[in-house]
Amino acid sequence: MRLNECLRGFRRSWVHHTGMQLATLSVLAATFTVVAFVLSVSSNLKNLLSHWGESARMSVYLEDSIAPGDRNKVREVLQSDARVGSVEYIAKEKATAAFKEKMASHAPDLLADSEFANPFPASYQVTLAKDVPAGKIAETFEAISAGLDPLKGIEDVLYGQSWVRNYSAFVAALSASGWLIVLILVAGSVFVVGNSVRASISARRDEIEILELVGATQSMIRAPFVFEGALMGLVAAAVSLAVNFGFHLWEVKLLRASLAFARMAPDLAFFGFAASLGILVSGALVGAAGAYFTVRRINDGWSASQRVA
Amino acid sequence: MILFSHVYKTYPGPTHALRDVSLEIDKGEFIFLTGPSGAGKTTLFRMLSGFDKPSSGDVRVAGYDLTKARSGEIAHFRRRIGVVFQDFRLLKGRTVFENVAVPLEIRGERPGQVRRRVEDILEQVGLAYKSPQFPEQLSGGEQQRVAIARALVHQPGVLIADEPTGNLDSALSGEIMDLLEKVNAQGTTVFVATHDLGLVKRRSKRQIEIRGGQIAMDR
Repeated sequence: MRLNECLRGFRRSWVHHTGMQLATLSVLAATFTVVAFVLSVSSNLKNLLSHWGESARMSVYLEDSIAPGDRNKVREVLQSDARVGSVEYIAKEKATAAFKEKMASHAPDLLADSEFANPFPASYQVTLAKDVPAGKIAETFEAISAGLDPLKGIEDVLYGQSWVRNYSAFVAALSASGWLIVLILVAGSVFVVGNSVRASISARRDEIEILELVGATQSMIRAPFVFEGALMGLVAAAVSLAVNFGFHLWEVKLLRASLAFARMAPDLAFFGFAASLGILVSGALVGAAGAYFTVRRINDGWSASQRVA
Repeated sequence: MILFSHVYKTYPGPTHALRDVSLEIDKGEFIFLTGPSGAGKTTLFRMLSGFDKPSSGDVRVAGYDLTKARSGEIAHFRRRIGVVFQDFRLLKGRTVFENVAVPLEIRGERPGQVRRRVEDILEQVGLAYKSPQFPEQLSGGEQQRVAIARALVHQPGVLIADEPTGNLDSALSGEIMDLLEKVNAQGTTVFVATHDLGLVKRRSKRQIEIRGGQIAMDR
């Protein structure tokens, strides 16, 4: 079927079934908007949590009596681990100085106290590589910590075990439930879109029957409907992107104005080019599939003759 | 051109709509199929137009064996015949011109050829001036003439009409029958199913009467 004929059919549908077409487009656009919104929120939440996760660090405290060779061995083991992002050595003196500086405002005499005994051990401060998922921080720290067990001279390994474990569990649950919600929404949207397209095509049942009567083949009859479904899906997906982009701009503005202290705005991102393209293509595919399955049910080659009976 | 050989059609129930129907129609003939309601007229019309298949027997029209034809072949067969219905079956969203052009577009004719043929046939049925109008803007008689134009535009060998004057008054019925006779005079085989015996008597054509699913008269 020629593209020209498909476009003419699309124009005719809008001219002669304006109400029905508008209703279908609205339902499609509303459904896609909700799905895109959930995807966007889920993605941004993940970004935000990952950002917070980057500040998680592990402290490997060394014994005061650790031999330089053993200390270097600890560093080598940590640095050779692909899951480790950075390793920084904090000497006893540096730890003390940092403590005094932090406490200066609360206890000014502390800075000048020459008899202050240094209670802090030297340590390695370890952060994780950026590709470690936020939901896996706890188990990664645990694994790295376990790898240090055979080494000599380590007094303790701390990474806020309880907090990190809870954080990881929260992120993992959020990620799983996010996908579940998206899955339910997509299934629901396919159902809604299918019903909407079905209502629209059923209203034009006569057209299908008459085309059958004059000898149109199944592909000739179905192609314009599938094309129309794809175009409707594409337009609806574009509308949903536009609505979500508007919401994104408002969200960023709000966060900058009212919640600037939280510094969350930079973590909020709109769909990139590939994701936007994916949403547009998915919209077109859902529209085309809805139209195909509906028109296939009506156009079995004999529907016109059934009406004649 | 048209051959029915020992055709039976039984619907679930069972209802025996056609029983041992055999008939032969030559190229260029004009046939009236008559009979009371429920006699089997519509069933025979459906067989002839490729809208249904017989339970047994053979149906051959315009070189197609409709007993064995598959869905794709049926579509091609329908392009070779012209069918006119009592309720016109026009596409409401398309103009008169677009409605008549449909069979040619389906056959993949070029736009220039489509325009020329559609204009010719609309001229023949006296509706050239209605070309840009929509079916709802036409009278019943005009809509039936558009339907006939659509059935003839691709120059089929057979024109099959089911009660083509059923929704029209006697003056318009006469006009439509004149038009069908004109088409027949140009060599097209015309098969008209009707219950209007007055109309049949006014035209001296071959008449096949069907009663209780069987051919009761053929003269």
